Amino acid sequence: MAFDPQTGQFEFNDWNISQAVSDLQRTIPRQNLLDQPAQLAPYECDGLSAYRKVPKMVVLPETIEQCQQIMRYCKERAIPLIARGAGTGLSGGVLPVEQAIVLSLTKFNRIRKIDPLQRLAVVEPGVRNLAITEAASQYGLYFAPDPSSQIACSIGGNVAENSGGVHSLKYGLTVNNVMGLKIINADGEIIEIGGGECMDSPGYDLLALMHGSEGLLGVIIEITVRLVPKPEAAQVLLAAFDSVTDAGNAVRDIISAGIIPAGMEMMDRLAIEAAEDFVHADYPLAEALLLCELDGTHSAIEQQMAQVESIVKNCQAHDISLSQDDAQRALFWAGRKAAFPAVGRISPDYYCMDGTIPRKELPEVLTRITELSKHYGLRCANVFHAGDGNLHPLILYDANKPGDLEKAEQFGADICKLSIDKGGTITGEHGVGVEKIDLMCHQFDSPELLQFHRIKSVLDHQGILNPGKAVPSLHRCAELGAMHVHAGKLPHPDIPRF
Amino acid sequence: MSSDNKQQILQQVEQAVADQQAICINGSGSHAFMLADYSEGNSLDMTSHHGIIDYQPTELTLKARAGTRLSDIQQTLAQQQQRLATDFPLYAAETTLGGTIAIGHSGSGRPFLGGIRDHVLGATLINGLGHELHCGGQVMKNVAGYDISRLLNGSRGTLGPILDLTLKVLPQAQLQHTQVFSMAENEAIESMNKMAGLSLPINACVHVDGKLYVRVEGSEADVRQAVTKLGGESLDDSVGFWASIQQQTHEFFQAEHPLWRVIVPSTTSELELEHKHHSMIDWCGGLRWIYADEISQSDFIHISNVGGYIEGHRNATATDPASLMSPLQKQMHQNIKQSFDPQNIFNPGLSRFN
Repeated sequence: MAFDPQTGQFEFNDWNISQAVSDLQRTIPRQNLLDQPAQLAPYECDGLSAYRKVPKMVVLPETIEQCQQIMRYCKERAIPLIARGAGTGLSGGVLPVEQAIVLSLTKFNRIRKIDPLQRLAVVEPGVRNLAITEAASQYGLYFAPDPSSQIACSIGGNVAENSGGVHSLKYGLTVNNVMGLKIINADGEIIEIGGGECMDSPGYDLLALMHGSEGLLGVIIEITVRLVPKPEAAQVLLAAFDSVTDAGNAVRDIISAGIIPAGMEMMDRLAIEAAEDFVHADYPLAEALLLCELDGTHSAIEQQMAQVESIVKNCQAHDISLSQDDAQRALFWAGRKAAFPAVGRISPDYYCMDGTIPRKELPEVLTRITELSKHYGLRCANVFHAGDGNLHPLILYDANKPGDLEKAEQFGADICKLSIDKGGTITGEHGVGVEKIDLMCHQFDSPELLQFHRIKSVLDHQGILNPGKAVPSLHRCAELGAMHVHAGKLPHPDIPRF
Repeated sequence: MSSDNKQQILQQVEQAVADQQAICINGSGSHAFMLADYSEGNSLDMTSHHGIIDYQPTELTLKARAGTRLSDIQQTLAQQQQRLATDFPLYAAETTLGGTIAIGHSGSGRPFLGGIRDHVLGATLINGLGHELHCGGQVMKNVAGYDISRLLNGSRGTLGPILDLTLKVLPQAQLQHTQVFSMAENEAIESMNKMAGLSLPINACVHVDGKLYVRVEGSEADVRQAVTKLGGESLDDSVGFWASIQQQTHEFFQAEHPLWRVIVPSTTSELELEHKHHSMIDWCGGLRWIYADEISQSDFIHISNVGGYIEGHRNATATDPASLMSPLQKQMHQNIKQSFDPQNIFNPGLSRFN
């Protein structure tokens, strides 16, 4: 069997490239079938470049029918298929696996429709996130989810990963801003999921199931997104703190006051220094920096910003500044948005983590991260979406130093486990991919993992869609010794483990 | 007041799994009027499993057992100047949280504040293998594993009994105001959609009885400015009006004729159905409540042609969701059902996908 639905284990047979090229070029132009090493190299990894594997073949279909044909071709031969958007993902979600064909959806880059009155757009999966907002802006509308890679990442990938962004506390994640999908299932058939232009659909919420499913349940070929009116104005407050605890308290107090900021971000000292050195955003040097953006009407912002200012002052903030215009607002954000590349300048390599914790745990988690940093002898810069408790610790290491990568990975895993212990999750928005697959064994018990496999197996009997990602096999978890054992009892002894 | 009845529920499910016996999951019964008879099998009472498990106002999260009354949750939130993050329908005082998610209807805030599913962060479920599944969590962002918590929205208990749910909650708005405009249905449909595209804190639009009601919420400054921009007349009891829509106690809902719930794209013009009496519009045009003695074949075709669907709500024939799906959608539902409940134990009368 190629795929064991009980355990999620898979193994696929070898297939012949020239035969596949000759078969597929009957329906797909030869130049869209990539099989030469130089052509295949760009597909060896996504944004998580620590993991690489050159795929056997890449196909760039131009029509939905061609996508269906490839799916059927793979189904008939039990060839694994990996749908790929812009390749900006950070968890190795589109890392090629043995024998896989990569299905690149970059040619599906058209915005099919914008309906300003209904406030929605119908787009192809390869459309860039920011391109939707750009196209809608003439109507005073925009697409709210704004992952930091929005200039390059594609909407299909956003759905597959359920991407967030700095404004998700107020405007939600991708799942909250998509109305409908068209997918190709593992049989090569097209299914409409969700309401399309309607706001409801009968039956289970399959639309939610598809979000964040990392390409394991189908290939997304069309997305209907919700557009929202651009706020009249936005303003950012920048405040420095002598301790991360004070900044965390300020976040708590702002929310307690009944204010939901459009974005609320924090950075720690190392991240501030790196960002300031890189983009000169006029950040004050401090232990923690808080950026709090409010949007809405001018008068509402004025009223609420006065409240925010007084709250941060009560939390011992200093160097408080307010953006005076959009240019200054952009500058204030520039440091935060450039935090990742900025950290990249002060270290040969960094490893970006993505845990979410209840906000109240922030001071304790950050203290523990500092201790872990000392323990592993690796520096760690922290940037986070403080509003929704989504942490991005950036672990600095040097891949050329033997053992450094392994230490960084161990450090990252410790942070993830810490997030779980504090009632949080191993991934807030980057997805599991291959990167966090082992950590899934810590987050979930075997009944949940088994249910995930059961869902996968009824929608993809052969397990050909993006195998080996997102959900670990029970076998793998058992081997890692990471199965949860409650009260000394092994859960579900009836499930086979090897 | 709370009661943890989990062990008994688990035992009852395990027994049913072992005996391959159907289970009929019962909440308060406040949605029974819209469902077909599903009384097959032993009754599993969820109302005895109730109470708020964890409420963290500064985290904006609330976790409660499925049998908790929505009204109790609303009361608890109000004590902290918070509220549910969107309008939840409240068809009866005893309506429970679990039943509301299982039915999956959303209230008037749907187009602006999201549906109820948008604010579900986590759920605990018992599947048809008798396994207790902890899905999602208590944090705002979580993409680990498939999103089973939201999948349950609209599941009508057919994937298993929901033990508890975690919701995202929000602070109460400083001020709420409703502006009223006299206009006919088609004019209202265009107006409400145009208003929704403005950068104003509008979060509900309803048209009933020849009047368009537009709700604005936010800071005092925001609301004042919106009211000036929108014009119209001010409604005296804004909170009371919107409660009467979510609770269906508004005069419109008191008629005896069969009432139908029609979902359409929000800009769809007035639906002319053959046996229609009168109607109201919610969801800024996306939801039409229509009184009609019966729905003809041409009505079905008309609604389907505009991309929508219709289901019986009150005093009308109960609609099987499966009858509204394409064969492939039905198959996908059947597959999902099979993965959770391979022996078809849970509410078999409500899951006729095959």
